[in-house]
Amino acid sequence: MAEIYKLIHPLKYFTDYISREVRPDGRKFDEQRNIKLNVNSLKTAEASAVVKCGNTTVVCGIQLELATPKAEEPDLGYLVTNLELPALCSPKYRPGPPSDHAQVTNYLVSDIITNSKCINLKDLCIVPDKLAWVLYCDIVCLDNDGSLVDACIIALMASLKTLCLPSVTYDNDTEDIKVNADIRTPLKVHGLPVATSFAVYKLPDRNILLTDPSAYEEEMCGGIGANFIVCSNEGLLCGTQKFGGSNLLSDSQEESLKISRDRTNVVKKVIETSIKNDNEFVS
Amino acid sequence: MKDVFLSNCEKSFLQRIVSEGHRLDGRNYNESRRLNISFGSEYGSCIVSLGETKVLAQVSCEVTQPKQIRPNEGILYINVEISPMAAPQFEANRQTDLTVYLNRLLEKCYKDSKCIDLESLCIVVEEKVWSLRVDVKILNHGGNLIECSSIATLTSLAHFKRPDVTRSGDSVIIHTIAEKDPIPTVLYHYPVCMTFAIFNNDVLLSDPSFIEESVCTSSTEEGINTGGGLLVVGMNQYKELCLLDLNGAALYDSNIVHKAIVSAADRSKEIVDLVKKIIISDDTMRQKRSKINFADIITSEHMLSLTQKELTIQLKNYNVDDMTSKTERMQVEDDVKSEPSKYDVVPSLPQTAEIVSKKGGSQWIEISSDSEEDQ
Amino acid sequence: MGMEKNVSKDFKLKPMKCELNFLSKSDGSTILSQGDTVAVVSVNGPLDIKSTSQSIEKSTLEVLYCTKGGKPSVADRYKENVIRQTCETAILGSLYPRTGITVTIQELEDYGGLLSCCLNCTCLALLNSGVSMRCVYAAVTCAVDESGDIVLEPPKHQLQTARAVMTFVYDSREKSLVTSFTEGMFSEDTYKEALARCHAASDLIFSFYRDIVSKYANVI
Repeated sequence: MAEIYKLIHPLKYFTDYISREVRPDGRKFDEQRNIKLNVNSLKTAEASAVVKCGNTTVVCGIQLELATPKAEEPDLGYLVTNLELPALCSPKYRPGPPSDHAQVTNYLVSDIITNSKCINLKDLCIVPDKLAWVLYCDIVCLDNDGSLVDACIIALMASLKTLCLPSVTYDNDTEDIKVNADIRTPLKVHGLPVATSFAVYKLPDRNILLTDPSAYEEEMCGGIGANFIVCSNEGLLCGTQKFGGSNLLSDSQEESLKISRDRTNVVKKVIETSIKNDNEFVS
Repeated sequence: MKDVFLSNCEKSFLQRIVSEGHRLDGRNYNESRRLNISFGSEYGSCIVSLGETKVLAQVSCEVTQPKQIRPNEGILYINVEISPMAAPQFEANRQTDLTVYLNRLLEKCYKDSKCIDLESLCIVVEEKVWSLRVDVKILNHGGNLIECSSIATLTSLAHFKRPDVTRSGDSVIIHTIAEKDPIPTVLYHYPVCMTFAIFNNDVLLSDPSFIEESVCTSSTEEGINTGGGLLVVGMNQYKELCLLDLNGAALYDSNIVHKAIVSAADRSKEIVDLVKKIIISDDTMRQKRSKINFADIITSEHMLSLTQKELTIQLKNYNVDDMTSKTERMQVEDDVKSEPSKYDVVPSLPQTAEIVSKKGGSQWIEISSDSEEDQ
Repeated sequence: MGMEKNVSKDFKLKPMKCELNFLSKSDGSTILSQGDTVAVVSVNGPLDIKSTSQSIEKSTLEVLYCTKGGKPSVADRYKENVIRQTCETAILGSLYPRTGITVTIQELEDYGGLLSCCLNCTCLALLNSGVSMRCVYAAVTCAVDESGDIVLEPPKHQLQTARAVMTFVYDSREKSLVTSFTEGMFSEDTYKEALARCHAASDLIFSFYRDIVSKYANVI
């Protein structure tokens, strides 16, 4: 019965739930979905992680490569993120070249990483002007059920935290490069940026903030990309993004900042526990 | 959106008044619309407007490897873009025949006529040369795109200055504009393309507007071409012909081409003189360090324009001290409230951690459709 | 007292200049300069579009951002996305189902705050085109400089050294936030202060809109 109701009155169905202070999947407004995180999941990648936030599933793998730094910035390495939204992750995407949404989300993710300054690109340089690491971070979404940016950031950060760079010796005269894969040093990661998405739903008299929205909720609250994303790293905000959708009042902003603070702590704990767990498993 | 079609009455009206010696906007046959050139703040960027037609041109440069067959020559690249801004019938990111045609004409006029000293763009033979790229963007399509974009290309090339370089051994140092004065591009001659619309195989209209262009290339309702067409003449200031292109009907009277060339010779001299004059005056302005910016295009005498000097805000009900104290109070409250987290972090499988909501099953809410019907 | 003086100095917007109906072929067009930053926007629509991109619920908004030179990049897609999402909230798209509205933006000069200039210019062009709108919006950029002070509409050299750059877009009806995007790191307090300041500054842009509309409305 509810299914038919949803089909006939999509908007009313949703407002009926919201006005009863509950979301269609039974969560409270400020409740997030369960997160499952697995690190070092792919054996072909140098570092990897799989994360499930509710149904949203994202895989991240990091490949290493050596390259010469740019002439303008001789002491910086590269961190390249690439987000793929294949047709299998949502019926909204078509196979073919990356969609606009994939490009924009990728830009957001790499923007958050640069703004949070969690990776110092100078750490990736081996010999200035000659040799530097390139981190190719490939993020693939297997199932997009909302809050994509959050999941991408968790997967990416968990992978970066587990990444160990092999030691490299470079001979200045012969330009000979020797890579020793047995001696590895972990990459320095400063802090841990965490993104929290909110969907803003407008009731006639007030704004409702839905934490960690699912794809269906995003759809009802102004479509893809209208989420309000708060990103923080070590107590500092490193990006608040909102593109269109319903308007955001200032008191809901306060609320969102508070929720994101709580969530940041929880997510941090998840990543740390997961890595600790992994280390125990290896040893 | 599909192409705009002209109605038959528009067509026949225009043809009639042209045969009677008039034009739609009251010009003479060989009179051109007002030409206006304005520069941007960077070297090599200009907006040229010819009547309502507006074209933006921007020259940029980068150091690249030369082509193998010409190891000591720089590269000139011309790119024309017609976005939906020009007119609604153009689609975004799609090449039309017009774009290709325009691009080819400009290449013929500026690349093949060898007006630019490409050898002076060479830095290290076979290794490093300057590559100039001219981006021509059509802002408004009011007819005679060819002439307008050709003037824009010429002006931006003549206005452009590339950064100076010094070679020391193997390395090449590129100086910024602040460090060393930039170098202007060397132009041997200044070619310009001019368009003439031919009506009934004997009337020549210089600088045709959008509607004149569409009428002269279209055929009558019986499908017979009326002997109209577009003739493009490329000529430099020395009255040397660089380019000739005919679009439309076959001409049976070769005198008309001759007539067009004679009138193009005068016009090209006029245009080139104007371009040179305006570049010199722009240069002296820049030397006086006065700011030149595209913002100057906006004229305040226009009815639909508005200027406002610096806007200052009066501070009302706003105090920084208030603000911080309020937030501090907020934080204190937060600390007190900080309740135990609602979520558990559970290390489950090897390498895996989970966040599980502490509260067990959530309550179900039944929305019965009966109650809805009752309302 | 000294504090207050300092604050009021910061509260200054760059001079604005604009001209509507700049292009004759578009349904609505505007050239806007905020200080030395200049952009041209043309709006065409509602018009016929191909059936694959039609929507039966509302008009499809297409935004095209053209740089001055060079090839299109991912950053342009991002700007297009920002502008499209913002316009979509402002336009009453449900009045024009199965049609398309095309917005084309051409940058002319970038001396800081280009994206907010583009957004304001787009709003004026939409007003000029006569498309029905739910509200108008105003974008303000501010930067947090090295010492932690907030500067409204920073010039380009200040943007390069700034700790963070934030842009906020407010709507005219509820005066609440429509769009925001930030770069760099900043504390929550700075964020809130920046929000409040840009909010105050947005009123000036709204009054600029009102002035231009009342200027030409008398004649028409």
